[in-house]
Amino acid sequence: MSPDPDPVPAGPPPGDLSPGGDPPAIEAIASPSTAFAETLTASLEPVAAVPEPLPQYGPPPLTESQRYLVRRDQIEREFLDVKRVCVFYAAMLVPLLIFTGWCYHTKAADTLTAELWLGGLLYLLITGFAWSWRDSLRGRFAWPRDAGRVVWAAVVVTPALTITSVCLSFHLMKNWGWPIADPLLEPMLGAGWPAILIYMWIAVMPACFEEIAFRGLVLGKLQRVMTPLQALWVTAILFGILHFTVLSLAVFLVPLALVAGRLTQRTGSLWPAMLIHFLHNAGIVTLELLR
Amino acid sequence: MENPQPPAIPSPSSTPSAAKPYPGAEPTKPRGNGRGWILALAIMQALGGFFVFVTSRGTMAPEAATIVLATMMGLSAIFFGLWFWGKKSPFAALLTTLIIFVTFHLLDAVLDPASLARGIFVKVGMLIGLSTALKTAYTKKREAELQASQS
Repeated sequence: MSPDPDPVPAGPPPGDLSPGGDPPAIEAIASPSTAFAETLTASLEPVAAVPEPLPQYGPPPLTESQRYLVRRDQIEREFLDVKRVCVFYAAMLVPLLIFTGWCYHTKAADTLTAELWLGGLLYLLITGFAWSWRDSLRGRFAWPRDAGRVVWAAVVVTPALTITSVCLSFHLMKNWGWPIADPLLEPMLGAGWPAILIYMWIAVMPACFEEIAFRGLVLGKLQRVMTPLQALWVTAILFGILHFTVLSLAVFLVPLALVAGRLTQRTGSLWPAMLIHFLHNAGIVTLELLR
Repeated sequence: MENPQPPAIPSPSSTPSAAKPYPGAEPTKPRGNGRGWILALAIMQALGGFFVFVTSRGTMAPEAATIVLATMMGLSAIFFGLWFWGKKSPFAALLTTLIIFVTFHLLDAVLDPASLARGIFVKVGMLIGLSTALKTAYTKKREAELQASQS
């Protein structure tokens, strides 16, 4: 038996439309007229389809006069911050004046009690204003992770310089025969305070609260109205003036405040300023204790 | 194909008269920026320091008189500095000057209540002058910011 020389293919023959077979492919039945129609359609289509703009559901754009009014309101709100800063400054100034006058006119009085009352009142005031203006302090208590070496070098070097200038000015005043203020720690040492409490009261508390008040609240508010440099100078001068000594203002208060404010502006955090203030005050307390 | 002609811009003479500003409606702008008050204060502070130093020599200890003179000269120097700064930023300088002025006179009054009456007219005049200048500086700054936002 010889094999079949012309085997029949397994699939159905072409053109077979019987129900048992597969339907024919479309390409297989495309006529020349269909191909021409496709070519014509392709030539009529645009080269790049432009998407239709989405419908705008937001408010309509402002007109020029509306923009003017919005900007005017914004400026008015910014200048309201200046009034708030003045109110804050006055709120701190009044107890300080009362305390200073009371201590000056009753020389033999218990100044430590008055100082404690004054400190408590001022810290309470600053806490109240800080709570009221907490938006200005948002993010200010974050640790400055990105602060470079320059910032930390300034934190260390600035208190060293200010303490040196204080010592030099005291030395010069003594040589010129000028009266030097009473020792800073005399009331506390007389009351038998331990050193840790003295450091807390003179170094830690002012560093925290004064920096929150000046570098946090005042500088933050003034920066909305002035350029950063102007706000820095105004804050530094206000900080110096509120200590009531013109000589200290020039010797160390304004330079310290300028550096602390600049570091606050640069890092966005109050920690470098607080550390500078703390190191300066702690250095002065240490010198007084050693003396 | 020729370019179309741009629309004609009406000349000032062709605008209707109702659109023209009324001659007297434009407000008169204040001259200067008010920092002259800071200079006046600085000069008066320096002169006052010398005056107190000279007149209190017999009644006060020499060291105390020197300290008073140094304090008043220091204040005068601060005011001179603020006057220089006021050329660039009058609002900030005037605000700082007013706060320093009020603070030191209040402190002076607390320590020596009789000093409040001394030169009261000059003090009140300075206070009014500085406040007016601050208001002017504020208005100018606001107008400048509004103009900047428009352009």
